Amino acid sequence: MKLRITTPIPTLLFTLFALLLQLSCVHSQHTSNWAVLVSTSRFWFNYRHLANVLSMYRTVKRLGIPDSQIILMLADDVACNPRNVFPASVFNNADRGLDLYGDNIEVDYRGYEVTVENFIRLLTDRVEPDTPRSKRLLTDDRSNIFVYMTGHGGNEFLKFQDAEEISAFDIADAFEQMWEKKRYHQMLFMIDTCQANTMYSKFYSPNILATGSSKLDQSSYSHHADNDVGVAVIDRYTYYNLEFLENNVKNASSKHTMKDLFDSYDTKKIHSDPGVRTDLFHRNLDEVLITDFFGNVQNVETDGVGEDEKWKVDVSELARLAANITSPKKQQKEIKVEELKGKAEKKISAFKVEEKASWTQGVVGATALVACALAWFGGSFMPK
Amino acid sequence: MSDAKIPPSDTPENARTRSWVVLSFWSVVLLLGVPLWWCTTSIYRAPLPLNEMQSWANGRACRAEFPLLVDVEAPLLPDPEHLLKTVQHALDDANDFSAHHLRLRLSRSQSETSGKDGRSVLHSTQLTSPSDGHSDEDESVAAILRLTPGESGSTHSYQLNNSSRVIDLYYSPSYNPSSTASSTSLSIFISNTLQEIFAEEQQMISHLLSSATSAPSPSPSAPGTTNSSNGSNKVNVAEVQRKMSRIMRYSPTYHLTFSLFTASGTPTSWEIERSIDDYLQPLLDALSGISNFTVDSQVQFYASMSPNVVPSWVPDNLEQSENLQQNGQPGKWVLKRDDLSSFINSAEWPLASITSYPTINFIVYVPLEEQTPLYISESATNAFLLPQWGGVMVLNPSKPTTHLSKDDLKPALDIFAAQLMSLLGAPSHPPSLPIRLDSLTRQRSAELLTSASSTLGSLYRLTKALPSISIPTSVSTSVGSTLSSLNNACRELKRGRFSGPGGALEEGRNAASQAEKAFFEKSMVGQVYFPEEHKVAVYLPLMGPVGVPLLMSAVKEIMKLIKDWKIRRAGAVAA
Repeated sequence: MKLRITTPIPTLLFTLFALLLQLSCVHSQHTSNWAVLVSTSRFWFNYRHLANVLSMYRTVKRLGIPDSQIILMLADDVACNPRNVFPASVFNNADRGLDLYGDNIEVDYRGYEVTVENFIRLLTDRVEPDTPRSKRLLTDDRSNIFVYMTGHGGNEFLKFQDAEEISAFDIADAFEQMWEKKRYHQMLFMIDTCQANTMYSKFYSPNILATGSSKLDQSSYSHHADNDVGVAVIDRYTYYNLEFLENNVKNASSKHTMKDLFDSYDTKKIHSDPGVRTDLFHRNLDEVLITDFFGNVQNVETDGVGEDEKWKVDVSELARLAANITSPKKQQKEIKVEELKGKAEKKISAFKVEEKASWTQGVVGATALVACALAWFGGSFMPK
Repeated sequence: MSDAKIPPSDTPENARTRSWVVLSFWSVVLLLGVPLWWCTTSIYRAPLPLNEMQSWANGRACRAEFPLLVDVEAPLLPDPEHLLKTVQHALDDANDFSAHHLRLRLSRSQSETSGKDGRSVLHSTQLTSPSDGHSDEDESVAAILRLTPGESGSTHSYQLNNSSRVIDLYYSPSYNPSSTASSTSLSIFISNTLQEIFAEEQQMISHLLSSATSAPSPSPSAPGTTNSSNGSNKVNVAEVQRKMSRIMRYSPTYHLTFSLFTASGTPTSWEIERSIDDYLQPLLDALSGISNFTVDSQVQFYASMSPNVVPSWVPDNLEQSENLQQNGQPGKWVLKRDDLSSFINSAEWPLASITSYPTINFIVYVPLEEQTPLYISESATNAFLLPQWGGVMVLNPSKPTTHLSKDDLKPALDIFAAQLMSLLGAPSHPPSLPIRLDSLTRQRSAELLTSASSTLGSLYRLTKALPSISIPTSVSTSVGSTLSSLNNACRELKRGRFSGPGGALEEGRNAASQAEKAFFEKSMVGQVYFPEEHKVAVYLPLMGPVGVPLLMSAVKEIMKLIKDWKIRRAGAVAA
């Protein structure tokens, strides 16, 4: 009896294991990477927020995310600010080694377009139908999204340009709607503001990995100021993130993981307690490559040797076959075109009738106008 | 001095006027103010057919069926009815995914079936179809099985015509209908043949249907479900998953961009327009029943690969030292597989699309003359495919040239055509193009049906989860038309009408686009979240100055009324 029962168990286990293996393989599959980089503050003294966001922009671009898949939202009032002694440049370091504003910057939402509403609309894709492609987050269930926000925040809110604020609940709801509509595969949410960790505390949608610069009632500090620029040029948390990325993740084939990045955070250096939220993210951080979010690594399928049949067809033969299929349709199309022509002619005659009607209407209108004018003249003479 | 000035006593008229004033203020507040406040702050939520939406999302509203009709022509076979019955039984038994099933039908008038294109739909006797009455004339025939005796001494074999739906099946001449063994062997062969031909499609559809009906679960890749008990399908899950991850999401229109990226200044021109017209356009026309295509092309000179992709030199003769490469040493440059994933230089190459519909990119890359020939390791075609994105082919011109002619481009288009088919999701297996296109139609119908249903489900959960969101009437009309399109699509699927006007694909397309429209209604942006204390902060300055006098005067009036009433009662008692 016992034997009979035990025999299927190993096979069952094996199939289960095989299934799990496949699942885990599938899990890391994404076919595109997107980045949403937001600087929510304006004005010259917030130079560092713009520098933060442009540094991130440069990093994700360096690691291969194309501009068409980066949504950059910033006030963009710094590079050409009259107070800027280095016109048309933005630096994130006092050594001014790297001009972040150099060339090839594509800002998608600029100036007063950086609003809470636009941000929520961007995430949920509830946009005007005529919104250009560059202003839309056209992701699907195979897209990994990196969301980076910086600005002035507080307990469960983040100010947008000193005019309005977004709350942690709003972002959480927006992400939930994205998840519902299968608009992301996995997401990394990174925020550098004061009390930043409160912003991701309300998230409830799966597959979001979140990290922030400081916990509740903690400020997030700037790293250093440039005396010639006259203001702080970068925030500490972003600075040390960038330092890690620059030194370790040299190119898109880097094998560093998110765990390495998070382990590199040092409270003494950052001067606040960076937080990481992993309970929604069902993967071991030491398996998650940094380039899963910061880079754009495309899966590639090639044919094996001798498999060229699979990836190659004789296109002229195919064309012949396809023509075979469509030739009856083409004839139909021609017939349809003729029919359409007939209809069009009919329409023209209908137009003529309309024109006549409009002419009579014109006459009626003109008479009415003249009558009104007469009445007015008459009225003005009456009291005398 | 003694008669200090005291205000004149309140006249009854004054008191009455004051009462009227207070009453009128209160009536304005109650009759006009409160309803106005109520109307302007309430959120309009159009009624949605929530139950129906939920049942579609759960997959309960419609059990999608894909009945494939196979016409059988057996002019020389004695007693074909009996054979068909056994084959049908074998098919039904072997089929573990009942929604997708094959149905055999015997063509009555054999003589009419000589039409080579296999499109003629014939009057038929309902022999073995499962007794349902709605097999219309316009039901499309998935395949035509033509049974003819093979050469003497041969075993059963079949041949599939590339250009039609006809499957020529040659049965062994030793076939004897009266012998059970012989008839079983033929029926098994037929059923295996048919299953083999439609196996890939069946797997894809079963995967699509099973993955979609499950609500979004914490793990994004929950569909490891094969819901079949036998082991043979499980092996293919990974393969099907891989295929699914490659396929572009359905869109009524795709944009194809053909790019020539050359690392140097040559070649300067290519005959892409003629090549596409001659080679690809017929295929695009044939696909137009499923999706439309727009095409453009571009040439980019001095387009370098991403800086971190460096091909390595592999000499043909490995004994020679590697640094001899410049001395005319025969050899080749090789791109490793790891290089390919960052081959696309997205920072430099102008591949961003401005169309509102998805773009499929096809890239011909001509390397530097110094780096020719450039090969991709382990690739026989020197090309690779990027899932959901497009294809790349490295073209090594045989001699430095300024012009790529149609013949030079043919190998590239050979590959691109295959890549296009696989990006669109056409099954690779049966060589017959009409059958593959039919399969694609059915797959896309299933995809649209499930995507529309899941969008409805998302909308349903959204309206439940976010009570502060407003739902305009346009959403409810869109949902209504989605539901009716879904119902039509489901009905058409059951009837076996997949393509054509009013077919399942078109209805599914309507349903999906209407569902998207409903979900992405732009006025449905969730209201900015207000904590309760914010509401107090908004209302208090507004209500304080108005509310306090109103309330105090009301209290005064009521007290006066009570006092009057008491005096009157006391007077009545005294009298």
